[in-house]
Amino acid sequence: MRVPGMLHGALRLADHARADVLGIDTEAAEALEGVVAVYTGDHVPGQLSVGLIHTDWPVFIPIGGRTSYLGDVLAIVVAETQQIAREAAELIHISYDVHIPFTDASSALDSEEDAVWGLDGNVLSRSVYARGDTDAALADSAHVISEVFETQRVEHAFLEPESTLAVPREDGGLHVYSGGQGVWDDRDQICAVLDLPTDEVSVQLVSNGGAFGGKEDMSNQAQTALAAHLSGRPVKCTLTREQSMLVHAKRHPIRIDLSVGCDGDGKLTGVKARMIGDSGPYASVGMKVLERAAGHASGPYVTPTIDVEAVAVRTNNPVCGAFRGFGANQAQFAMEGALDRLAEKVGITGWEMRSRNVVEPGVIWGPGQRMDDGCLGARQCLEAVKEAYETARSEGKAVGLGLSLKNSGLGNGFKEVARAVIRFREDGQVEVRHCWTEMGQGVHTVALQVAVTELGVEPGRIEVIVDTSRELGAGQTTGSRGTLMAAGSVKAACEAAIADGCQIGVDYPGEYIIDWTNSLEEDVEEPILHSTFGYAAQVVIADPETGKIERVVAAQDVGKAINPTLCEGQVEGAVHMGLGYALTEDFPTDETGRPTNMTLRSLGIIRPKDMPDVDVILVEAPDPGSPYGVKGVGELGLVPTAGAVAAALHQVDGVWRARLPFGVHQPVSP
Amino acid sequence: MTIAHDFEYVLPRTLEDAIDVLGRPGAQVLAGGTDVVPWLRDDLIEPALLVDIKAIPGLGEITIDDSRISLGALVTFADLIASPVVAAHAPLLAEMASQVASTGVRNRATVVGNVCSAVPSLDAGPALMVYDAQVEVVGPDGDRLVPLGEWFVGPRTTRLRAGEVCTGVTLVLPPVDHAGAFLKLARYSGEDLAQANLAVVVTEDRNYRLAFGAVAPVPLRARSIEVLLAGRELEDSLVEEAAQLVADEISPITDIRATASYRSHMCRVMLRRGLRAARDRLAGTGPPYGTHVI
Repeated sequence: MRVPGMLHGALRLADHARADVLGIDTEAAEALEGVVAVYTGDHVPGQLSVGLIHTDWPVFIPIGGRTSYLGDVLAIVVAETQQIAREAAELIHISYDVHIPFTDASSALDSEEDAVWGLDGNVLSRSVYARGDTDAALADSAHVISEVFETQRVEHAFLEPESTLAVPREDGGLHVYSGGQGVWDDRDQICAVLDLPTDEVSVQLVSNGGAFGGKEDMSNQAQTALAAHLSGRPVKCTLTREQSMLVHAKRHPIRIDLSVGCDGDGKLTGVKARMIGDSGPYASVGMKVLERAAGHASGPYVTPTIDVEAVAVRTNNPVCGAFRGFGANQAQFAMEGALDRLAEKVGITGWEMRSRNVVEPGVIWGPGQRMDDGCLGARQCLEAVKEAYETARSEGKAVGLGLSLKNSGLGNGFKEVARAVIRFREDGQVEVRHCWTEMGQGVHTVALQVAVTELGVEPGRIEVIVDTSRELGAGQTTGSRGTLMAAGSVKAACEAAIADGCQIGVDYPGEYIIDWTNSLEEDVEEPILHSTFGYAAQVVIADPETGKIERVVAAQDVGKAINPTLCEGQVEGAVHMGLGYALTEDFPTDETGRPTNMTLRSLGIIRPKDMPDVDVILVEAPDPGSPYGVKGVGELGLVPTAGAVAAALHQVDGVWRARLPFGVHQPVSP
Repeated sequence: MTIAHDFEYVLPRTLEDAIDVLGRPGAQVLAGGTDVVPWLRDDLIEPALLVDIKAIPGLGEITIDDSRISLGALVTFADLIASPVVAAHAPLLAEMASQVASTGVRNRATVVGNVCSAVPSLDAGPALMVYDAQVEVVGPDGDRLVPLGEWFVGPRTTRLRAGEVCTGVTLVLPPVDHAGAFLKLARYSGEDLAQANLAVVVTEDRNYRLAFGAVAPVPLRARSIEVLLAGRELEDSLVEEAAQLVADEISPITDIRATASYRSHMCRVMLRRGLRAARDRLAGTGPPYGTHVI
């Protein structure tokens, strides 16, 4: 994107993960020909920090402040070209007093010293719940598995690095083009930093080239907006790939100490989990990720007793936050591993073990929720893959099965509101405004399909728009809720339009609200943690000698497939990501908090040529409480994958794997 | 990274001119450059003089004379894939070449260069060894032939002496009908160096030739297995017996591409599959050349 008179911004990031900033000398940068200005924390008129939940993430580390990870921003340079801006950013001389960073979550947890500048203590959050006497139940169990599972940090590797264009408006305000995942959150945070009322900043969503959760937090929106606001000229800032990797939040590495018991028939008796997640310095949504991991600890299974604690720890490693699956992946990798180990002890197959424990309507699940008919999808997914599972086993293949659930929506007591507006124009077109970010997943298509279905007009007459011209703000496009809530709100808006005769030039609003969930802390009997769950079963079929994965059969319950092709794409992409998670993807840091895999190549993303065939089976077990029965599709497809791969590889070499990623050195010699 | 130090570059038009300049101190032969140029960039070599042999006529030929196939020093992996001679007499070589690096590198990299670079993971090594290849060397004192089995001294070290240039490599075809298989184990399909590789030749009179790569400092013929199999039908039990000997032949290490134990395990799997594929190809029932059996 370009606009007349546009300048380019470049960020200067921290050189040390934990260091006092003694001075920021911008003289050499400002002297470079083509540089217009350099802005630092001293120039911020409003709030220095932003954040989706906690306001703890500084947009600049000022002189006198302290860096807390390598993605901290010290300055933004504004120049005539991108090249000059980036060159000048490196000419800024920063003097530091360097401290030893906290790069290990357990050490940070044990330390009295604060890891992060201005934040008290190193525990970001602690999510706890228990039902029944788990210790006693485990002690009385026929079989018990106790093992530590460890998962790795992962980079999203979306195609397009973060980019923002901020343009001063003629009325003195600011118009910002953002590639984020929630433009109202972007607007509110920009306004807080610039100390402007919300009507002086408009934010327009730009389809963002992939996000997977990594664009929920602000990246460079505030700094770019500040630069445009202060210079009075349009400024565009695009992060380099390296900056992108340093700045945005990653998938949490979580250490899970898990004990699971069952009786002689394989029926679960108890689940006890202690989780420690390395959340990096700033909150982002880290506490919600660990809360989600805690809630999903038992997977889609029934257990009479459960005892879970999940702690999010502050460190000076990269920030961890939202990433497709949101804690469910880590928790269920461990739970699936325990289930397969128990199945071996009982002497039954992985399929049979799951079949004996899977949730059914009416049972109490996990933290205490009574499951509704929506959970019929779990068994339907199991049944859908049964034939492929049995056939591959009879052919002598190494076969692993994973079964998982994942909530749609935020849940945990959060009131979720989605709004949409339908407007018939003079020229015959129909504007459909919704509030969700299009990032390649097709939420615009879903909104269009719903409008076409409800209004009965041609698709060509529909224009789908997301901007802040209406107050539709619903937060982030996250938690597999785009389809669910876009469908609900657009449907409601269409119904309002029809009821009023679809008059031209009138805004017809519609809402979809989920306000009936409970938080883990609420003392309610049978809390409803989540309004909606989806289910997925995956069979991983591997060469029994080499461990090479030949095929993945992926059954996924989406409630209702609004667009089957898009659903299939979501599942295939998720399996790709899930296989990378299982086998090769990693984003470790060294003892200075610096990531060691800083190129797309080194991330271990599975190459197209190496992808096995993926057979997608869409299961439709409608959610009783949602529009059209929709459940959501975005995240679930990679939740069961790692567990299924572990089970398949175990059949090759007899080794139970507990640490992700398994690596390229598999199988091992007997 | 750019090349950080200076060197002279010459482009001799004849072999004699090349030998002349190769006598100067710090001379380094340049052909395809797919190893030499990265080594220059990484400061692994600092030659005073690069002698580019690409203008010397006659080095780009693949010729067959009775039972001997000669590959000139400028023959690329892409040339092997395209060659009718290779397709008719030793398709194993094309099967090997098609698994080397990527199209761009195959268009540029030479087979002889691969043999001269002598990294332990080289793909050409095992494939040429099962044909009892000999390396043709020319130097100030004249020509000599070095059997490939003696050519490799250690990682990136060969019998090539200062002032010499390798002009080609010659393969000896078995006297009777034969078939082969080349198996390359890598972390992903294409563009990777071998974690392990294996060349297999099975002849009509039941002789077997096997060479492993990337599982020892140099590529090696698995002689004990060849002796075990010689003259015998490849029954499943015999193949299994042969697989048990693999560990005695190879000495894999753990490195960034694979662990030693994984290499050992996979070499046994590769041996079983390679032997069966070559046997079945000889019988006309095997998977077509180019089919990956690992």
